[in-house]
Amino acid sequence: MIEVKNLTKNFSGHTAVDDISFEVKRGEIIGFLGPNGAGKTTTMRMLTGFFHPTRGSVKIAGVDVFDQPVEARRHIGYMPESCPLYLDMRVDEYLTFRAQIKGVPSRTLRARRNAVKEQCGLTDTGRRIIGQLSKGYKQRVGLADSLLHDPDLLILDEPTAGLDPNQIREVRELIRQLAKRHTLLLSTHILPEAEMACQRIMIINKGRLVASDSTQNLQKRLLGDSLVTADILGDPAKIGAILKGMDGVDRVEHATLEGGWNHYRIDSAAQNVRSKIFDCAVSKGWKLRELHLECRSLEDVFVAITRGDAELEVN
Amino acid sequence: MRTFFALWKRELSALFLSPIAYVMLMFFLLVTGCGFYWLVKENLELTRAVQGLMVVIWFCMLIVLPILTMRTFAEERKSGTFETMLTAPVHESCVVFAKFAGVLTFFLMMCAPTLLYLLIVRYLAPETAMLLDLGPIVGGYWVVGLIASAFIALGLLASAMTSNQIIAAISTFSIMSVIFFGGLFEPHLSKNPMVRDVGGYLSSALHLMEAARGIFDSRTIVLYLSLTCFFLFGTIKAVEARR
Repeated sequence: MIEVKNLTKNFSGHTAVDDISFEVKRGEIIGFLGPNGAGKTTTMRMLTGFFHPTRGSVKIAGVDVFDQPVEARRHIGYMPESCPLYLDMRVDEYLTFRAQIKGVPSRTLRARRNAVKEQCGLTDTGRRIIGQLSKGYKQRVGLADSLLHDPDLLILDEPTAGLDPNQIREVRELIRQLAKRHTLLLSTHILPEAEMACQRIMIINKGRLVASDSTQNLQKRLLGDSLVTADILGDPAKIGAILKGMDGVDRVEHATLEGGWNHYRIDSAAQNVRSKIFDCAVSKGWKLRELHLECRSLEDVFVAITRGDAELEVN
Repeated sequence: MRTFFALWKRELSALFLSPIAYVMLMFFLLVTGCGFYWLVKENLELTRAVQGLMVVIWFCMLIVLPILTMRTFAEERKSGTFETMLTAPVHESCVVFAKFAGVLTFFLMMCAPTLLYLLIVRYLAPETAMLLDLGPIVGGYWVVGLIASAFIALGLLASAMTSNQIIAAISTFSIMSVIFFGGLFEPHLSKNPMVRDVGGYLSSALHLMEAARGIFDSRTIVLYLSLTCFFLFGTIKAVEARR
């Protein structure tokens, strides 16, 4: 659905987006994470063809965004960050206008408009002037607008920014509904939001893509669930079998180090694996030189990555 | 084409939804109305008064056009709707032409009531009917339209290059004034015949006076049409560049 290759954007001297490449398949829900100023919005603006990149290419549904911008934009529904709208128009007027410029056929226009209004909970607000709506409703109008031409791909830039907790919940619910029919790319710096809604998370920092993984993998690796690493001297087959047989151990990865040392990465749901391994090592007389728990929440990882302390491999 | 009409309609309704447009309408009708009254009262020769009316309209353009065009792109840039507009499947040129057409339509609607002035004269003084030829009037309004399109295009260009409406208005106003006053005074002040000739070619006031006398000059048409195309082209490029 999205194919991004070596995308780079320079703004008079400083690099906002630095050589990003990724792919998104049809039907995926991607969370685009990063601190403020990391280059999320710039990347999204390039995906929609609003900004021209300094280098690189973007293809949406096989169409190059910069060679055939109008054709590519037919596939994209985009809601910019602050959800800009014409405040002097009525909701119906605005949606009709947007449907017309997006090329929704006149015959189906009214039906389409009413359908998105219903989808976004705007059925009773058709006659209201947009400038007088609350922030949450404006957000819904923006979302309705991005859905009008039934795009394959929805790009939402911080859809819940500036909303109160109830509104956030509503918008989130709406996004979950949308995810059933569209490919979705949404940016946020609210981590639980990304966790809840997205299948895959991409973390961008200082213009670079620093992590990209499925939410399950990230969660497994990062959330509560512990990853223990241990360096043990001895026969790898025996030690491996005993470690695998321990209570609560899901998966054991093994690597041989020099000097007969074995490096194990032990995934487990249990909290006390380290003491069990220690007890076991004592009773069997193994030499143990390292026992380390890598237990991090998504927030910790996010902070670590975006501060540059850690690097996760980019898929 | 449908996209163009939707954008054009939006532009026109945006003008009618803003109070500035009504203030401008009032200003325009007040100045042209008073000007024409004064011209008719002082000049018994009616053809002269029509010429004068054209020049008064031109003078009003100096104020009205920068203010009507300043919001076109600058406001959208500031409010962010520029982004939603240009990420919809629309061509930049379509947006520019629609905005141009919207402001031009508004301006022509603004001018339409001045035709009533001539009808009123005709009603009040039927004996002048033979003096008022259709040719010069049509010619005068035609050139007013041409001049307006050139400067509306200039205003769009200025507005597309900034997100500050005041800057857009003042730059449009400055360039218009150079052409207006340059063309008006330079030919009479300078002893250099070259300057006088060139100034004469560029003087909108002279173009209007000639057109309102019934003289059809293709150079005028070429000048304003090429200026319009040039500024519109510049605007499209400025919109494509974004930042």
